[in-house]
Amino acid sequence: MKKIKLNTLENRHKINGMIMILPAFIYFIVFVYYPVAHLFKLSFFKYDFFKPHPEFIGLQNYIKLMTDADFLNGLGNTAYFALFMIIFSVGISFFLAIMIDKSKVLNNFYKIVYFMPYITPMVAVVLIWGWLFQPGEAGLINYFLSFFGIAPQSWLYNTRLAMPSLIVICVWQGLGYRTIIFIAGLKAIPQQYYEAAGIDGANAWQKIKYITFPCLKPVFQFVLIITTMEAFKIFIPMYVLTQGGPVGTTKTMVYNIYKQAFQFQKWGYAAVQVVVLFILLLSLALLQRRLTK
Amino acid sequence: MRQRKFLKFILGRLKDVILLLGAVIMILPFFWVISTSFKTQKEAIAVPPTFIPENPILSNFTQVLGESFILRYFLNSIIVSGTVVIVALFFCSLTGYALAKFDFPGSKLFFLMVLGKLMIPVEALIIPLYLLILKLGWSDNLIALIVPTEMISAFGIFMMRQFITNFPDSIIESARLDGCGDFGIFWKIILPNMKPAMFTLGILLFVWSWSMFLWPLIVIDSPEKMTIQIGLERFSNQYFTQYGPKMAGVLLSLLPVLIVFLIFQRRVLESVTLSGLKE
Repeated sequence: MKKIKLNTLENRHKINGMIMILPAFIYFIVFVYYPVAHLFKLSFFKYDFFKPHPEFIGLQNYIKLMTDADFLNGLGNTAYFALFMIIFSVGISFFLAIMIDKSKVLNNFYKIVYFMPYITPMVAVVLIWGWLFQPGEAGLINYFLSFFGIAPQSWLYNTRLAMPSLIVICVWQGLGYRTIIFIAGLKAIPQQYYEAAGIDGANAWQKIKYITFPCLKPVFQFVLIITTMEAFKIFIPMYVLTQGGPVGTTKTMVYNIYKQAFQFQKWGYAAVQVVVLFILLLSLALLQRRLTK
Repeated sequence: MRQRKFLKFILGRLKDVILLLGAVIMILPFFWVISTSFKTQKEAIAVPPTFIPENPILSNFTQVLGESFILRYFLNSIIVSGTVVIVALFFCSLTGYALAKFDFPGSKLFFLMVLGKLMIPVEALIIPLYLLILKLGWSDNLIALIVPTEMISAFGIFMMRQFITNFPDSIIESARLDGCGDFGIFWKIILPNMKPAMFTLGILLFVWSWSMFLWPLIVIDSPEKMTIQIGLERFSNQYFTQYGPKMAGVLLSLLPVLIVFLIFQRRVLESVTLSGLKE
């Protein structure tokens, strides 16, 4: 008799638990997992403005993609952006973190100031830098460079300089976030390690090399993967400042996807490009999970 | 020994110089926006540039507020971000509570769904979601910016689950003995005790949804439905070479987030280190 009662109480909890997650469950099915399935399905169909009724075409979209100069250009540009974004933002933020962690005064001030750009919405950031990168001598960056005898450049309108300029903007914006993560990682390293190394006569560089680097390995992995993922999703600076130009040098994967899908309404063909991007990002995310485990 | 100390001193000063220089590089663009937004067009494009406006004017701001839809954009952004935050806080806490304190069939699978969502970027969903929105008749409607974005945030569920797991079972048990049901416990005990965590989550969701760009760009067409981010982009084309009004608009658009950050900076910085946010 008592056992049955206990069971019903337990069942009641089970049912209550299920009721509580039900809204979220339905939500994730409708707005996340069904769309993901739909995305993969779309990638096997010809479905665009001229063909409002999707037609199954197997792998043709995928085959077309492999020789599509626009897609390959976008992939190349994105990789180029990602490579330099990673090198500079991870490198600089690591050294910033070491320096900020060591400085006793203004520690908090630095954290806030370096983080400010990251919290600022990207559109505002990009518009501000568009103004700083203004061609001619009214542009602040050209003005500063004139002190070093460098002639004014037309940054965002120059095929060689446009992408590097956008990289500068994104590195500037993301520095603080990465710095804060590195600082947290540094704080977690036991101080005794350094003291022991100091007693053994290790110099500053040796301490960084033999203590800081190995202890920060998981943090490095995290920051590297997060930065790579962010870089492959880059869109706003290209959309707002250069519209993929000049002559397509700043067209990135997401920029191409946006154009194909929402301007030319080539749903099927855009879906394939999303699938490629998605698989890339998902494998990075899975790698990250595996590494942290 | 003395030489080493001297070297150390020099390195220390070098570090201070680099950090201060870096801080200037971080602040200067913000300063430049403020400065430009108070300048006349003539002064804005003057060579050499002036750092402090010689004849500061307010007309850029009055022009922007009077001519453009910027107030409307703000209102739309507040509606969107506000609704997202409130709804998300409720459902994230409820779902997090269920995952933390209940053992029910399918809870593992559901948790995997939450973790899976964390790994699916928005970019992967835009095309099928847009087609879904068309079917639902939600295109060019603010509801499309509220519901399919972070209204039930996987990150939020994950975070609330983490916090609620650490909440002592003994308190829940004693409430149960007093005759409180599972939902009563959630409402009267869990929610009031989770205020700090919910507050942090609320700030993160607010900043996130305030900054959202790609999705609103896709879904919204009419100017009176635009949020501040896409409105600002449209607006910047309108004032393409009028830097004063343009920067005034930029300044107005970034103020809310910056103010929230400066007030709650400790919380924001802490939460950033707790998790890889904003993804």
